[in-house]
Amino acid sequence: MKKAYLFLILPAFAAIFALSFTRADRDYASLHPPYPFTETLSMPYYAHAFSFMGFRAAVSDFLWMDIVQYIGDPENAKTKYAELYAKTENLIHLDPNFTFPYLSVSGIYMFELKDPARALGLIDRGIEKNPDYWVLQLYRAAYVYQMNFDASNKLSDLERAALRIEKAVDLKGHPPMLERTLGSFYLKLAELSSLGRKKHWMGKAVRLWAKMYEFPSEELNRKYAEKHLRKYGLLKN
Amino acid sequence: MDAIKTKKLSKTYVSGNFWVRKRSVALINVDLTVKEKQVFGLLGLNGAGKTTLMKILLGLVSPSSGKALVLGKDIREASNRKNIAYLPEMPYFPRYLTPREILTFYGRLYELSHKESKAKAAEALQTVGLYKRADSKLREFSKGMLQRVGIASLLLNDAKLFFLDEPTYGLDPLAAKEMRDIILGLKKKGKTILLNSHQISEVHKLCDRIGILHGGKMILDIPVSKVKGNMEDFFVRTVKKYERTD
Amino acid sequence: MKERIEKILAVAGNTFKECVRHRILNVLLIFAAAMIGGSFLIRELAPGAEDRVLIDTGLALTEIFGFLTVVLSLFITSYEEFEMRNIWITLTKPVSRGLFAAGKFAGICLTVTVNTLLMLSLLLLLARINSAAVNTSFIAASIGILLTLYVSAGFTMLFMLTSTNLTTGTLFSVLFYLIGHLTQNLKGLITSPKTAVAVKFTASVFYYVLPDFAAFNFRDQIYLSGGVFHYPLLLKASAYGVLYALACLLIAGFAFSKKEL
Repeated sequence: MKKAYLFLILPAFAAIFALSFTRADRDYASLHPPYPFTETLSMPYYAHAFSFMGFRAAVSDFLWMDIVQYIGDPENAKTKYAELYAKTENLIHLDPNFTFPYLSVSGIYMFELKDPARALGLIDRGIEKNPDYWVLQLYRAAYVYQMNFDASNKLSDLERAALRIEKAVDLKGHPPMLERTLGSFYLKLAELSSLGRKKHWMGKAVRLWAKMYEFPSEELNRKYAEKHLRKYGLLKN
Repeated sequence: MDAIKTKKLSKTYVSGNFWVRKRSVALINVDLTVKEKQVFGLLGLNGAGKTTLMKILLGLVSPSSGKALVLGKDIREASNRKNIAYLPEMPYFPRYLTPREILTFYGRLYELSHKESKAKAAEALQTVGLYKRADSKLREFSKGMLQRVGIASLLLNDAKLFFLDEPTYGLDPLAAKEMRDIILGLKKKGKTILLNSHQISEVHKLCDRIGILHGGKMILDIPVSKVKGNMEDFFVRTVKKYERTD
Repeated sequence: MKERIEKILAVAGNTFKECVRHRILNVLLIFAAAMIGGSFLIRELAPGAEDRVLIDTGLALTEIFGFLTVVLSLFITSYEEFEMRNIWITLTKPVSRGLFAAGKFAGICLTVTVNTLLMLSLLLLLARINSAAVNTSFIAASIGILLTLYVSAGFTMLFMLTSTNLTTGTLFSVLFYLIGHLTQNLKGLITSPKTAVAVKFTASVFYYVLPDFAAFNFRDQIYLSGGVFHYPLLLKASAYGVLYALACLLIAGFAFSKKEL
């Protein structure tokens, strides 16, 4: 009889040990962040229920559908989408790695609601949670380029934008078009900068074009690089 | 060796909930001996304890006290059930399987190989006249046909001891006769049979010995040859006599 | 040993055949396929996230219907065994109750594996038709779903074999499934400084004894940028799942061996 009880107890204890090892795994904590209950209080109760049940990603998708329906309703445009930010906050707290809402909602704040602060705020939060997603960097750079700040602000923001695009270009899988965009930024910065900094930015542009010419990620980039190198007399036949 | 031997076998069922427990006594100090190659008929009114006794002898239920040995061994050990076969009252089988599949399954439980089990299953179905329906789903079968599948399951392992609970229940007269012929055939082969039946005339024809259970007690255990007159009258007289003296 | 394995395989095969042919389970599978197919339609409501909706909804439905398959399979087979008593004939053969329980568990796991793989295949087919990106985390998520279902089968069997009626067993099983998804949230209660010692102790016991389905939940992280497939974590979680299911099965077999039929 005692042997039988041991036979029963051993696997139970082994399961508990295995659970402890699983929870202690270094990746476990990042895969199971604490539930953002206080940050998502305004979410409907059934969204909380299903999220607790382990269906966070699916609930996020349905929250996104809710946001899309909300934006699509002309009545909500009259109130300037008053609830949009709260709904988006719920979504990005629940699933910070759902990147599309950062892009599209920030675009609405930037271009439709003319609220660049909120747009940049959303994009920055997206970048914080998804540092490897280059599209967010690109969107931020694009917003900065569009923003109508005074010259000194414009310059420092342009520099910051250029740095972000540089980071994006360093990432594997970035679109080739991003390299040409970076080249345009360097030229713009060289145009706006004082003499000393002008040389710095032109130097960066030339090095970029040389790399694009020798190791093009697509033919269009090679032609772009060739055109600029010839224009500045750096490429002879 | 006695095929079945019980000594002071008792069983009390406990039911109810945590607060109110109900006890119902099913068997009281039953002493039963069935010798090898004997056909023993177990008689009794509904609720007398016949099924409980059979379930204890088959290892489906544990006794509250007393001992029970089947073929000299404790039947609760799985390995001691290789030489027994059981036909319950109103046998029921998984509805979406076929007779061939269920009998092959039983054959494999008897430790026959898959091939042997299939062959035995086919043979058994042939014996009970269901070979043509071997691959039909059991949910399409009538009560009588299911009973025949149950009878076929008895023929898989060349058992020494058979437990038959109402073997002719649900069978038409022709099938009932065939069942009785099967039982007689087993008897001729020297098999031991414990037969539980309300068909008293059948018991009279088939059995060597009878036992009457009443209120959980074995009130009578005699050879059939000592039964005087009509078996039904004898049964009723015995039960009434016991009730008067109890 | 060989005979024992043969008997387990025989019971497993029997259980599997009965389950896959059962009308109710076939209807459930068709309904699940329809719902997964339906997620193909609702993706239009989520521009920019069409692929996500298809995959996330499909995986969620696969787990839910997988659990329903486990519960229904066990309910149906147990009903026939205990209420209709077809188990009496089986258990009077030379097979112990423990082996029978093991075989039945194997049969149910096989049934649920086949059903789950069918649903996941449909999902992958729909993803391929729509050129939806599916990374290697999908495999982790699928294994996680199967582990959840095997553990569910373990405790459902335990409840069905030990409870006095099947409805109670089913109810306990559903509650345990829900509780299993909430177990990880006990951590907050345990680590909070405001929690009383007695409550902390009780919560700690539950934190380890109750099943923790969060350990198998790789679904929520399938879209981590760059795609992540945590081999060591998956192995540890698999070990936990297998051991937990085994513990449930052993307790179920032991309790079943004492049960009056």
